[in-house]
Amino acid sequence: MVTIAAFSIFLPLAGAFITAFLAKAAPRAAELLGKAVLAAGLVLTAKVASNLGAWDLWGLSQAILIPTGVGIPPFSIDLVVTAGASLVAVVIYGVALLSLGRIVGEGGQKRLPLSLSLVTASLGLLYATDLFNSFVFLEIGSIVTIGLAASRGGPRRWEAAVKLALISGLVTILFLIVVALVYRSTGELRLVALGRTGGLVAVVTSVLMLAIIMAETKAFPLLGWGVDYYHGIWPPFAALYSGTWSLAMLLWGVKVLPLLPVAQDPRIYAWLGAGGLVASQVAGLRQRSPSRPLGYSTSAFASLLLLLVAFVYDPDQLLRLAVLLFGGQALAKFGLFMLAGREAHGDRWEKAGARWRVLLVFALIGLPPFPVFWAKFELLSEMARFWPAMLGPVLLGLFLEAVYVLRFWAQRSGGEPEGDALWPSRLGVLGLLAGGYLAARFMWPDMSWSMPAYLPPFMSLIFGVMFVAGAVAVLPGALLRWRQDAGHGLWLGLAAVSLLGIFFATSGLSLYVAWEISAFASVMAVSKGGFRGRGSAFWFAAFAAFSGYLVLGAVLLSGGSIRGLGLFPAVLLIALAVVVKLGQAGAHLWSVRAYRSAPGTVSAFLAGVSSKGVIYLLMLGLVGLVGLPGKDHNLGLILAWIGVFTALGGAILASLSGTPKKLLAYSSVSQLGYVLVGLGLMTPLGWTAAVYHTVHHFLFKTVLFLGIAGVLYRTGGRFFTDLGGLIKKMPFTFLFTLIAVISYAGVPPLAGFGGKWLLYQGLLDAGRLPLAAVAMCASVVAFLYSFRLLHGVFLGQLSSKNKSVREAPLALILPQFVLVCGIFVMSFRPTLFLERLLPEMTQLFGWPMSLKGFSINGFSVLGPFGHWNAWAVGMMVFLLFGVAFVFYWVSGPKPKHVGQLDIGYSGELPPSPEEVHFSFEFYRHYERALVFLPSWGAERIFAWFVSLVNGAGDLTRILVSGDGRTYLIHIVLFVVCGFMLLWGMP
Amino acid sequence: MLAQVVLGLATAVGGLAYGLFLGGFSRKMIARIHGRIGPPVTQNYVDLLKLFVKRTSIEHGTMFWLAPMFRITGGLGVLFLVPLIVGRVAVVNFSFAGDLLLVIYFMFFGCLGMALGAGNSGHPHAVMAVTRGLAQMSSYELSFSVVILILAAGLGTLSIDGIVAAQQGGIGHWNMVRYPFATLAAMIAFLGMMMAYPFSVVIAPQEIPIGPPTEYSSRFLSLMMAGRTVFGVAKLLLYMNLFFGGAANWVDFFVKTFLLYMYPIFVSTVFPRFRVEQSVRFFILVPTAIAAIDLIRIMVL
Repeated sequence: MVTIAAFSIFLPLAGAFITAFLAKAAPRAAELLGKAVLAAGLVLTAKVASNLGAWDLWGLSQAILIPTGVGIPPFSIDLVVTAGASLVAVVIYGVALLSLGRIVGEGGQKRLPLSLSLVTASLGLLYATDLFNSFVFLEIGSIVTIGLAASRGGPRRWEAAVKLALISGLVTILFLIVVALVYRSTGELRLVALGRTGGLVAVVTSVLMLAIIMAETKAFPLLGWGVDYYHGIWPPFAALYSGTWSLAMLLWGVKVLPLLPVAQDPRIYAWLGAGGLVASQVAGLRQRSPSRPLGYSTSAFASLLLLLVAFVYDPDQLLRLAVLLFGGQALAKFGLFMLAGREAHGDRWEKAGARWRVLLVFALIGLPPFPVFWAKFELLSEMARFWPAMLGPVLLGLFLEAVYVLRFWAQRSGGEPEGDALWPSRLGVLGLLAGGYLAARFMWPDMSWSMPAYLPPFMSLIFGVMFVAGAVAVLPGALLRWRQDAGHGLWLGLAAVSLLGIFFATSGLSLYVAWEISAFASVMAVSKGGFRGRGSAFWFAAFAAFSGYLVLGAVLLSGGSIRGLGLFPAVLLIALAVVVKLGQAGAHLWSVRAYRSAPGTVSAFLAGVSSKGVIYLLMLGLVGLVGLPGKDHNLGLILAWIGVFTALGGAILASLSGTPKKLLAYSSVSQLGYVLVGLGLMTPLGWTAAVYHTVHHFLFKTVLFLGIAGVLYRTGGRFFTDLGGLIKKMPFTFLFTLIAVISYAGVPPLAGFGGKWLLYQGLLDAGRLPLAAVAMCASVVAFLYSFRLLHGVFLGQLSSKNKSVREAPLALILPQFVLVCGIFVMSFRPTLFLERLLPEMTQLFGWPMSLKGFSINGFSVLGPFGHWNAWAVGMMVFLLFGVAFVFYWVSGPKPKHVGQLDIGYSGELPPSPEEVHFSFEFYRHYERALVFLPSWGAERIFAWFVSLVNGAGDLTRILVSGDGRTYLIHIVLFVVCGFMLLWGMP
Repeated sequence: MLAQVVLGLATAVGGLAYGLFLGGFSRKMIARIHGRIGPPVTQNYVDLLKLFVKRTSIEHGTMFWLAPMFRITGGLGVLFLVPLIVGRVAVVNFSFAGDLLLVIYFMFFGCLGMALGAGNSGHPHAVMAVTRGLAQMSSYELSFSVVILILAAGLGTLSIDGIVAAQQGGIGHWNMVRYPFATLAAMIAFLGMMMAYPFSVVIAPQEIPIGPPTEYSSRFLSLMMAGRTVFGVAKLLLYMNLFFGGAANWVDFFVKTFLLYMYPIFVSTVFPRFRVEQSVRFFILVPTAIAAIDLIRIMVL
């Protein structure tokens, strides 16, 4: 066992020596030998890992001692292979093996010894237990990385190498000072001796070691050189570097930092980590070139290192989190760099495989099921337990990182890179998935799924039915484009399944996992949209990440249970997350873009189905506050105001939209506002209205988006000016759209009126007159966009290019038909639904609704302020309409059908249908009338906010000056400041 | 059952006849203001009949065909939902089906049909008129909905019967007196609802001649006309019930509705027309601000 472990370390060293001789004489043989060495090392370390029982992630601090010298340090060179370190070694070997092909390819065999030495240095640092060995391997590693950086790449490689050399020189000096001080004061050089120092030596040692580790791991504020280094070197080197040396350095930090005297006060690490995370990631947002963001992301992980040692004390847990966190990010970065072009031309990367890259990006920002996710969750849970306030800056920093890393994905587009370049990345993704599997298996006990019992059964059932029915309704449509693009169907399916996951989740972790998968599967589905799909998906992803971290915060604050989501701070976060995710209060920036760009069925899913998952989450949170007086009701009131203003603003913007999908997107935002109003009232009537409206929204919105999906599928026309007159060509689509429109507009006898009636009853009952007034106004503005939708697409003149259009495919029509049947049931027999909801509201709120005069009497619904009998209204309308219809049908001369251009046109012949069709600037007069409204919209406020954040980022970016000497000064200043701050601390 | 049908029919025919009479009367009245002799009061009956018996008609599509049915259903529906005479069970037709909210939203039913028919006709002027109408409607409904809420909150009910019942016992109990600002705002909105000058942007002869029914003729137009007439009567009824104490008997009914009908006629003869955006902005700002006074009064007191 010991021999195997020893072999696994020194094999690459031997390989380095031999290949150095072979490289010139027999380059192919040298390359083969190098690969063989690395493969053997990989197998051996995997064996060591399994012998240590590392794969199940339990007991990772279990270790083998390799006594390779005599006596005690500094004369012996004992190495300790912990189970955790062996897993990291597997990653290091894997990365080295996978990157070797590109690094030494095209006659680069000279670089073989360097690469192999780097592996040795990394392993040595990983296993070292004393200062001397650490120093030796640190030096080897520095020299090799300098050499590798300089050996190939673009014009910036020299800068990168020189900066690294400068930093390494200073680090060496600092390290030697530490060695001298520690040896002088304790008489030994084992790492544990660091903690035995006292007095001034302890302070100096702490500060210097902290500076060394932070500089080498590129933690804020000592990150400048690292960012330049990643930027300057050839991407395959960067892949190797981040997967081996950088990773080993982080693990070394995990080993050393807890031993430093300064670790007595973990707040120091916590502040350094959290502050550094925010500051560095704000700067990361400013990055436009491809490789620099990854440098900043490295800095984020260095900050997480500090947080890790600040909050996790159990050695097993520490190692487990370190392995998952740093191993995961190393593999992800490795994969991303390997996808980069073969030649680094400054800022330009070659075509990088988008499909694989996105998985790597997801792995890097820590989405489930990748390893980083599990580690972050566990780390943040510890944080929530010991110092919840720290969650704020840390989640902010992580969100900022997610934004620029996602933008990195969104902005680089292009096809797959040719040939073998893709394989290392693919294997990297597989490695990440394997790691994610191990972590998920470990975390499985924290996840539980069963029938939900948080909301009353009928309410739960409603949501469950909507999730399943919604998925069934949209998936056939998604399959229509299966041949051209299977991707969006698959992602849509995943999103639908994980939506059910939200429903069945009974622990905070499982809820969050399902939430994130659902959100990002939807993001991917959106990105498949042809029209600016990737850009819109980025907006979606950024907002989804924001709300995702808020949900995470809520889950963490609730102690991991779903019942705990009802705690006030958790509800606050959930409410904010929901506001963002429903596109309320200006957050429509993402939803409008996403709905507009996504493939039709994806929009239908997002607006019609997925949004119900968000409402479900809000209800899970709010249900804990039901019946409590005081501040929670103020929260509800705020939600209601947000909802009502969004309802109005969304309706106005929908009326002014020039494309049907954008119109529907704004209308969706607007309609979901009513749900917030209902829930925000926190009364039985309000909730009844909200649930009613939720179900109704599911029905009509899915119908509308599926209808438009059919129109786009057949015509390809994106703007109202391309459409019109399609009633003749697509009668069924028109009919279903018409019914959905009449329904949501609230025109009796269809179902939408019921939702409005219930809502106004609830609002009046709660005495919220201003809210009710704005809500009513919004519902009237809805007529404007309703007509625009119907007219712009189906009425008016049929454009000549749409003459041969056919009815939408059955896969889209049939689901619409079924949903429309649902609308009809809801329209004429709402009591079927309300009868079951009523007792549950009574139970939930603890008092019968009849106290407020709400009751159901046969087909009649009696409210505190009036009554409504849907059946009677329906009968009246059908009777009147039927009589008129039959009378006109049977009596009198048959009217003559005339052509579409046979209209009275002031004595002239009408020109082409396109000219006669009125659809451009449809509500110009309305827009003009509203000039008194402020012209600054959400877009402008958001842009202003972004410029503010960017300004903050620029403050940090001053540190990254690009000048190596400045970086040296930073280290010196850090040491001086650290000394002054720590001096005098106990 | 039979009695109900007969009563319903009587209400429909009576409403139509009364509406046509009011229309004819107003034409005569306007002519006299202009110094013309004007058409006879019965002219609207003749017009309706003439259109109905025309031998030919054209249609542009399904929605064009169905729009008049929507229109007449919308008009008659509102008429049936609003009680005619206080306490007369026999003439209260369908008000058990819903309250004031139902009536308000059902008023859109006919407009929607009209809009769909206009759209299907393919005539740009018709559609322009609809967009104007919708924009203007959304603006006057703002103040009108505030007024509705004032009445609901003040009287504690949204049932029209309830609102009428609360106003019995003399003019001092009328909502006109109780909520003067709300009534004033509603009366301004009424001008928009009746499309009187200066708010006649929908059927603006010099701009978009005739408006939504541009392409309609013969039987379809007669049904449209009937629908519009009945709808007008229904609106009169609604206003009478909401603000002016309802009608205790037929005399009351005719006096009040007649005066209400004449009010927009008098206003419209002395005003020119607003531009669309002026009209919309006016409705959004002025009556809403007036109504807000009563709203605040209710909320504070």
